[in-house]
Amino acid sequence: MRAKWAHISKNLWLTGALFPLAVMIFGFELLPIMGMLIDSFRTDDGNVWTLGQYITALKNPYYLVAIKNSLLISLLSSFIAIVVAAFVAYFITRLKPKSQEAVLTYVNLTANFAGVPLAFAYIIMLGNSGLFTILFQRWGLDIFSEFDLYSWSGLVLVYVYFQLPLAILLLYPIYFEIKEQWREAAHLLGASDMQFWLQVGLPVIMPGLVGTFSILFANAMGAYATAYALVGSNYNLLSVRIGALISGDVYARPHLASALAMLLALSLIAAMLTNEYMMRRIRRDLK
Amino acid sequence: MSYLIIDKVTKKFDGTVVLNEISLAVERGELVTLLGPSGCGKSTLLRCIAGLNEVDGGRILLNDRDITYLAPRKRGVGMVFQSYALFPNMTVYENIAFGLKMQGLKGGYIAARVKEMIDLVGLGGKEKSYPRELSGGQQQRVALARSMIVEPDVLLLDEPFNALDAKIRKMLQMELKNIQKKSGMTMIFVTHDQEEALTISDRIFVINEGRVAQSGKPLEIYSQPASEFVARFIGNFNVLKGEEFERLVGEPLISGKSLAIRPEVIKLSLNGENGKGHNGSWRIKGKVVSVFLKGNILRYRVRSKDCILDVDVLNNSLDCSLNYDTSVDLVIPKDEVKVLNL
Ligand SMILES: Nc1ncnc2c1ncn2[C@@H]1O[C@H](COP(=O)(O)OP(=O)(O)OP(=O)(O)O)[C@@H](O)[C@H]1O
Ligand SMILES: [Mg+2]
Repeated sequence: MRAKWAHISKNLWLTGALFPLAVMIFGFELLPIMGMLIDSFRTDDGNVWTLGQYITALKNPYYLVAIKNSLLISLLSSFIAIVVAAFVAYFITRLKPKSQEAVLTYVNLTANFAGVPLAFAYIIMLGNSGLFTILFQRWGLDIFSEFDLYSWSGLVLVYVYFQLPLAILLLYPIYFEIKEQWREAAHLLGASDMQFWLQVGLPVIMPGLVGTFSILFANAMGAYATAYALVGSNYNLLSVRIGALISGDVYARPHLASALAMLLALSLIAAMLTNEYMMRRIRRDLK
Repeated sequence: MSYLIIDKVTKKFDGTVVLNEISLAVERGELVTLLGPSGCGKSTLLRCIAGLNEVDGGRILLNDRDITYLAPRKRGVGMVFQSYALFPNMTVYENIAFGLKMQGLKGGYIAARVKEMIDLVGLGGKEKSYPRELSGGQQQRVALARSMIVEPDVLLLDEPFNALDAKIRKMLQMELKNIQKKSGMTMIFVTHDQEEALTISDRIFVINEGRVAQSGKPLEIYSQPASEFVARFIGNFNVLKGEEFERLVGEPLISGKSLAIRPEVIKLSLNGENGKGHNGSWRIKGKVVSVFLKGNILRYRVRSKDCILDVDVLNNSLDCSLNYDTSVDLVIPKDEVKVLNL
């Protein structure tokens, strides 16, 4: 009897503790999404049900290009970031514990360096009259004459920059899933370093890599402030388009914005499902 | 020349000497155990043989090759880890096949060999299971098969059965012994469990503080411990100082060294029974301090003249009702008292 009460009171306690979380998820996540979903099926005046917003979004080349650009830059920057981070994070795990801490603190700091301040820092360093741009010009080095921060490659650079610390922070812990004895066992069975990584190391961390890629992709798809500060509305990105449609100076079309936002969400879900599927093919031991 | 020779191997960690010029030799086809208390350097020695730790001095020869500085994968040494260290992303089949695959052998040949190994360790039907779907005992069989399939010159086993419960442990000990005899593979088995060592080994090396304290056949080690350390570590000997023993039996002894008496050689009887001790033994009086039931054996702890002696008695030979403070007679056969040299 007493045990039962203890059980119930424990459950009550747990429920109580989770309640604020539930409220938050509902109030700040589910409700807005529902609202957006409904809005996206409404005409601009909000009175009639329609598929028109989606048709506009997918037919109008302006928005199509924005979607394509966003997908491209997100995939590309996530890919570059995850490849670089895979190496960096691995080398961090090989450092002495003290140095690991120091490096991680630094990475953590840079991970929070995003948005407008980051864009601004880049403009100061590499912009048209940026510090390095001018310095290198003075020295007669032509490295940056081809480089245009406000272009596609400039945007990729900045995206990679804010993706990289996040990628490192997310990948760092997954290397600890590889037990040292697996490596030792593999070597004693005749495997080279390369063979160990291909046969054991990579498959073991694959779920972590894949999960990290999803997060990076979402991070890039949703990035708005950095992109906006850097390229303004010069460059056609989905998040910038949505922003413009909500707070547009010319004219706001929140219902179209909702439809675009739903498409963005769909792309994230699609990315997650693809990753899940790929992971299951590689790690058949994980159900 | 012996098959595996460890010649004055020294290993330090941050200046602390863990292996202290340790030397030992193993013959081809032998199963030897390294037996010793926790921290005495058993695992370190295995890891040095495998090349997972570098040595700070000495040589290791295997099958007429100096392997002291070879890379682990070039040594012909296999190892079974206490934690099994199975690859979690591979099935039982793939785990066992791993070594042959690394040698670049053909699929058909690999399949046949893996099947042989699976039969040998009794894992039929589990080929497609993943390690996490297996019990501890089954995982250890996979680990054994995985390292045996490449036929290493010597197989090292570091407390392989530690994580298993007593029953499975006993069974696997017997199976390992059989498999070893059948395959003729040279094996070095590490344990800190004396019973395990006595059961499975052809020879035992008792290790203490990075050195071999004594080596020999199980029976030799058990009945003729060379030092107090070995006597205490193996078989729970009663170890007494020379003076203590003289006080106990009331006779001066020639040597002032320590003495060891196994608990099961002392005969225990109630006061006055069985007449006197004869020439070949000492008879002393004492009182029961405590009694432990150890399955088929009762261990009485008896105090006599401020000495404590453990006495093992078969569980059927006496009433268990010898309670605290019961007066008893102890008969100690003279030739069962071992003089310890160290
Ligand atoms: N990598 C290492 N770095 C520093 N010290 C170590 C390292 N490995 C082992 N030691 C030390 O060396 C000593 C011997 O360790 P080892 O693991 O060989 O003992 P063991 O006999 O296998 O003990 P156990 O029965 O507990 O496994 C211990 O004092 C241990 O702390
Ligand atoms: Mg050990």
